[in-house]
Amino acid sequence: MVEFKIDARSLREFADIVVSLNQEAKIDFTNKGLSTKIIDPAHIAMVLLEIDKDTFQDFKVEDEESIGIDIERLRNAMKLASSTDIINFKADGKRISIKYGNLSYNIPIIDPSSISTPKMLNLEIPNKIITDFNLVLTGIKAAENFADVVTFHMKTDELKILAKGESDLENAELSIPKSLAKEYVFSEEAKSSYSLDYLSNFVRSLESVTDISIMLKTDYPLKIEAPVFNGKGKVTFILAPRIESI
Amino acid sequence: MDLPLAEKYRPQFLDQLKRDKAIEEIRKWARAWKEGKPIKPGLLIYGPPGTGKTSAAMALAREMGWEYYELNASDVRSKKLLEQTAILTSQYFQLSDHPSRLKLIVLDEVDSLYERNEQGYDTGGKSAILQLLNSTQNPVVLIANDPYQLKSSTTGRQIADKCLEVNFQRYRSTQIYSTLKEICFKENMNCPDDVLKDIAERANGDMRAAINDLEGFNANFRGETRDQTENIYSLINDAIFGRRDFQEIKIGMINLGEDPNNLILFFIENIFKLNDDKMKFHEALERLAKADVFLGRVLSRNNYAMWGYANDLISSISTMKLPPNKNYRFSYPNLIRKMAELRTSRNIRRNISAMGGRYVHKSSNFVSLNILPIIASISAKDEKFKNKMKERFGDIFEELESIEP
Repeated sequence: MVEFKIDARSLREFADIVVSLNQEAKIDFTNKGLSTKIIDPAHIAMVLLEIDKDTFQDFKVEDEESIGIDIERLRNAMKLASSTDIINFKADGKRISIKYGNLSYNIPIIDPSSISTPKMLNLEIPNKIITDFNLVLTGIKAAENFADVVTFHMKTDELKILAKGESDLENAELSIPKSLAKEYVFSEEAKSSYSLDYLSNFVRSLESVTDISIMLKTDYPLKIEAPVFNGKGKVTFILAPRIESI
Repeated sequence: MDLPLAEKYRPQFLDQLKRDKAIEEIRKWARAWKEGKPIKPGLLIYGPPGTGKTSAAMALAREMGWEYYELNASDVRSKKLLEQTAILTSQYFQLSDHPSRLKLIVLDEVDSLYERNEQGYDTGGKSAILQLLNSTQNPVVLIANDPYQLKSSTTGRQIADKCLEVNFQRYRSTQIYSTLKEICFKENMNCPDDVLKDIAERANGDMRAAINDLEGFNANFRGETRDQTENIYSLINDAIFGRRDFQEIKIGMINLGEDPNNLILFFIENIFKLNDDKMKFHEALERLAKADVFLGRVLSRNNYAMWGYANDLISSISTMKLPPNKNYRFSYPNLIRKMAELRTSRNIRRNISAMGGRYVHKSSNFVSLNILPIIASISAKDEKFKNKMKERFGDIFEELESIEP
């Protein structure tokens, strides 16, 4: 049995992050908190999410347990909650019950073995930049107007986020110079392209984030890490590189 | 957990498939991918069920170090999935900690994507596959039972142009036999040799079916001697040669739970080769003929009590003790086999007859018997007539050509 209380805003952010990749999630509960690994149906992106139990109130987990949740249903159940409402979450046997105010919902639990989870990757990425989240968000929003692919280019003194339109004349480019970065680790020039849809869905699902770290290597998965829930949780996003046709 | 034997002994490596020539071509195709996208980005593996098509794709991915990304096209959501995920995933490297790894995109059972809707048009599955082959940066495998169905339309031929075609033929019964023997050995099963041979023969080249039969045989008859087992071949062998008496055969036939209409086909098929003693042979066929009359009455009067008389007549063959023949081998009824093989072409014929019937205001039966042969022979000679017919009937008309000689 799993039981906890959390404010609607945080639970909503959690659900938004998961739903940016997949509708269903297998969530592992331990007495330290919860964690989940999500992979999208096309197997090109994954999210790892860990949340410490301090984020919750009255966090109770009897045994370590994995629960399959249809996140879309969870979001529907929370539609009527205002962001300051405290949500009572309880998973027991076959169903999850959600209570806030005078409302209560029950949604079924999905068999967790039916949900595919990604293999853990051991990525070695030499370049890293930590910078302001909103800056990156702006770059990605700018790219959305042009293409469905976004290219990250890391040089000795700046990170460029660029998107090319259909013709060479059309493009958008955001530059993050070394001076704006809180941390800038450069070891080799790197340039790689990624799916903009996935990236923007993910970035737009983050709300409580201020700093974001980006790790980049040529033709290698992109890794983005950010602390969430006031530093009590951590989200990692990994995206497969696009194959550039020659 | 116990896996089914067919799954447990699924070939893990390409060489285990025992298809040297086809495997060589597949390897060549896969190696070409190392140098970038080849002219033929797809691999079309076709062949009847149980010939190792899916196993070949899995083994290839393992051998090349590619991720195996399978879309089973018989899934209801397949078309949408195909467009949303397969085409998307084909543009990206696999998610892995090794740099630049490709993945093998496998569309299993693509035949089901060609299904036409009622108006006779493609539902869009083929054009999605073509788009996938055009845009992919990863190797794509298409697995089909019937390549002909694919090539029956322009889009289908464009797909085939972009694929290396590899045909997986039915396994020979000797190959199936030796595989069964190997499994028996590994599983420590005690299965008589002649049963293995019968299973191998009856499987008709379908390795999976043969292994499933073996498993079924083993599960049902473990530890019992063969004479007490009830399976269709031992029962029929015993009945024909009179190794069991009339009453035992009759009870055995009831226990078998097989439809007497099928059972009688087994008897006809197997007795037919035993014509050394002409008098007994004649008498046996006479009894089967009478039994068949009763089976017919069951159908026409819906009176299933008549099955009893038919069963009596069939079982009574055991009293005649037909003399064994040196060349005798138990075989599966040809009629049933042929009907199954012709199912596709029968369907095509039925559809086109129904369409034609609407034009000439006749039954589809009439069209099938009297008009189709004429249309087929005229269109073979007259190009103009053929094109006109194609206009009227659409793609399905081309399929008619393939089934009419």
